[in-house]
Amino acid sequence: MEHVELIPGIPDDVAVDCLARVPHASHRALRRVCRGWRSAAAAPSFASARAAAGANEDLVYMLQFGNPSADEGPKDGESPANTPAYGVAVYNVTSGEWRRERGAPPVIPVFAQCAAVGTRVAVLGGWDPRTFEPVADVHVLDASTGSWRRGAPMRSARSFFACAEAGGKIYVAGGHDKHKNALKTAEAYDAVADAWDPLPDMSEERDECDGMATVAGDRFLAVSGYRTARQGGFERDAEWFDPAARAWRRLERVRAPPSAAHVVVKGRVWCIEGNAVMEWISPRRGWREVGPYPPGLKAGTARAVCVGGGEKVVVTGALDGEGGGGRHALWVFDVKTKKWTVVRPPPEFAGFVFSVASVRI
Amino acid sequence: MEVDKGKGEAEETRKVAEADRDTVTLKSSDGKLFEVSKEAAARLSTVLAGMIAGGSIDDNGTDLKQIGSEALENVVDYCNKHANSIPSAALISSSISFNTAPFKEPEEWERKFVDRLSHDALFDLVEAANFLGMERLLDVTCHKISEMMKGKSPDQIREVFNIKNDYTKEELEEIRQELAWAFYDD
Repeated sequence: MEHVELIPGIPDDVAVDCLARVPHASHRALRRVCRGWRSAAAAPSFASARAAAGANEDLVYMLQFGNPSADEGPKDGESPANTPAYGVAVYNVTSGEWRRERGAPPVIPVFAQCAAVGTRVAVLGGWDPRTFEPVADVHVLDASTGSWRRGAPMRSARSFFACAEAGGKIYVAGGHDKHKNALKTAEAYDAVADAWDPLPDMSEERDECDGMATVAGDRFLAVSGYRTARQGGFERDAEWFDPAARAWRRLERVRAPPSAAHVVVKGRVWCIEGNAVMEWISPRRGWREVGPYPPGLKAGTARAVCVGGGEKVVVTGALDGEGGGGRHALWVFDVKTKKWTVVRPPPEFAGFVFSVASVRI
Repeated sequence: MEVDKGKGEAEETRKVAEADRDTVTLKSSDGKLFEVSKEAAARLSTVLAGMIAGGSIDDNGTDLKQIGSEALENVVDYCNKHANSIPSAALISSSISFNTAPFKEPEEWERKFVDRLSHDALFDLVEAANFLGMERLLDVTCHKISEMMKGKSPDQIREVFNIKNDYTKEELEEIRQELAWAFYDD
């Protein structure tokens, strides 16, 4: 068969370099041009050409409630259908653009959570929006192709659980079932194989615990949470999963003040709380300050995610005080300069964000 | 910015005749001659740097049989403009990009340089830059081509780049499906 040039008149490797520089928002169109472009955009060389050309974009995926005051403005006739009660919003940290995720499931379980591994974003658990019962549903987006698939369900239906990517797998642990019983069960998802690995139980029930990856990104840590009998009585302990021994290990007294948002930056546990950004120093079993508190962020509303392999931290939360008016915003922390940039989203993206994940494309 | 090759050459005062010349003469496939700064040529093109270092530069015009006169004129023009431009730190600070990847956005004058080219001239320049190992010029031209794809429909892209739609109806439907939520009815 005769070789068809990707772009007539240009060597194929140079053509890939041209395609790779096109912003992510136009990739959908690129894939539909012809067979050659579609396979070129899916090849590993496309991803490496983007990195080499400095064309990478960081996308933050948010599971977000609709903003009740967004409908007060003038309507253009199309917006109501685009603002679901709970849906997937995307903020492009690189370009500053906001959008709704096209092709997302029509109904996202309320309080579903998300985590990313590679270019895949998994949406897990939450409540059935009609019965308010926890579900075991999993939906997976491949952010590089824009395609969504239903994933293998979790072993247990759960909501308000710890959830994070660690060592290439997405871990879920704790939360509560439909009887509001706190769970000690945990499992790990392989997004490529679409398979769940049932893990041994944690030592404690942990409802509303925080999940994160730590120690070189390969260990999953479930922080705090409360037992069924101690509703809202958050514990100060945590446990992490040791994949080699397939066992949970306990850590005592790691929890920062209640309602802290945890995030792992280059293997270190950070916490957005009180007056500052704090970092956990494990030999000293204590916290040290690494940066100022996000300006105008209302206490106890933050969700945080690490972006671009540790260059940025993105925090979502409510705006405090006057002028905030219950509106939510986004704060971008530059790890190098230790400066916060406040991003005010368009009204339709100013709802409460319950879960965040980040992907580099 | 690296300027090692050009300076290294200048320090070596082997031949008086060579040292006199701070330009090299390049000859296009259609026999036209162009003069370009030796320093800029060596700095911007790995192929020309190799030829200069290896002494395979012909004073009467080094044959570049793969490059037509219009493309070569643009190459030489680019080299001369580049030699005169002051690297601009202001551009880096004005970038709103959050990326910390190597800064490869074209500078203002580079943008203007490629913007004035016709479609064919741009493509010929890409080929010439690729042949001569001119990484920066390749960056700038590839960036320009990527901008021609940005925000366009597949139909518009095919038209601009003269690409045949080789999808079957079934394949197009498959692609459409993969982008729509397929689980409405289960």
